[in-house]
Amino acid sequence: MGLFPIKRRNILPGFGLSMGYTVFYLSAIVIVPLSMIFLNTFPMGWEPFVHAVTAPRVLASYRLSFSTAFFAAVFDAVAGLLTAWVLVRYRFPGKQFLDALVDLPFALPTAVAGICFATLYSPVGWLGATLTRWNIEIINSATGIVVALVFIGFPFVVRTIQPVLEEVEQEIEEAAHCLGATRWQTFRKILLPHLFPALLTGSTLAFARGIGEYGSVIFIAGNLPMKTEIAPLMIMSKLDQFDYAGASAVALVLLLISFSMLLMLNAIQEWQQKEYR
Amino acid sequence: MLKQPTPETAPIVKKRVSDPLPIQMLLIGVMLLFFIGFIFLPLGLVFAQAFQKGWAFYLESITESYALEAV
Repeated sequence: MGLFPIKRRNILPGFGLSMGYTVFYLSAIVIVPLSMIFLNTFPMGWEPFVHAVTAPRVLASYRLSFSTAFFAAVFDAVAGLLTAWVLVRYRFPGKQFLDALVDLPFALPTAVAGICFATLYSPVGWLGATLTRWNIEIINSATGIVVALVFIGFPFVVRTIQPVLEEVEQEIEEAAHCLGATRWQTFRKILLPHLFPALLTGSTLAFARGIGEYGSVIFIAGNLPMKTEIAPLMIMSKLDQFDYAGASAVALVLLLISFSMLLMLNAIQEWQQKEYR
Repeated sequence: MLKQPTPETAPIVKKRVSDPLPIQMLLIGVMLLFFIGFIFLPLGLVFAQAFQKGWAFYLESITESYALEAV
């Protein structure tokens, strides 16, 4: 299939109009704002651009953002798979309520989530007081950022696995059972490979969201230069210093990264469809 | 908990291949722990903190003109 299959007559009328409408809105909402980042960065020239995006403080922020988002995505993959499994397979009181709560991180303003975690893990907070006694520092550390990102990315994993798990045909499990497989073998050899693409998609979404997350992280991270400064915060602090070109240079790097993550995600989904259709 | 269909009410119910009850309990328990740690505790804490100084103080702060403007 070509990129623009206009020539082929479609049975549905109005392709030209709806295509024009789609392209117009896509440009107005996505492409024009994003191209501003490119336009703002180009006048800088190559040398200052490289200088701006490879400054030690900026590099440290990328490293922090990526590593925390990665660990949070891995944690979310495990917790999300477990939650989806329990919510789909088992029946217990309060299930509907928990199912509804899964979406809470989507609905809750990120600043509220940030305050929640900051107060919970502060040295006088409920959990923070105990953890401080054991010399575990959550607030003002990378661990705290991971905690916030686990919260933010959690629904992505659950909500991508749930529909796939619901659609798994009972017969394949029964067949495995009849052939003498234990429950664990059925899960490991039959269900997990089936769920894996969805799991990967969900974790990638959580990872991508984790890289860009700003609101909930700044409260708990403490924002110490070189230690707990996340990449989006670098953009903010450059803007605060009226370094607009530098800010859009960092923004451009983040944009390219998230764009390549989207491409990766599409490739995963394509592979998923080939594997299971 | 898990309802076993009686022969009278549900004559043709296929019993789903499922996990043993202890495993179910364990998995539900682990999930609840996660929910408590990541969702209930932070939310509960914010409510507790918000109402710590009493209902009157809470009303006073949310009806303060700046806050209203922001919301």
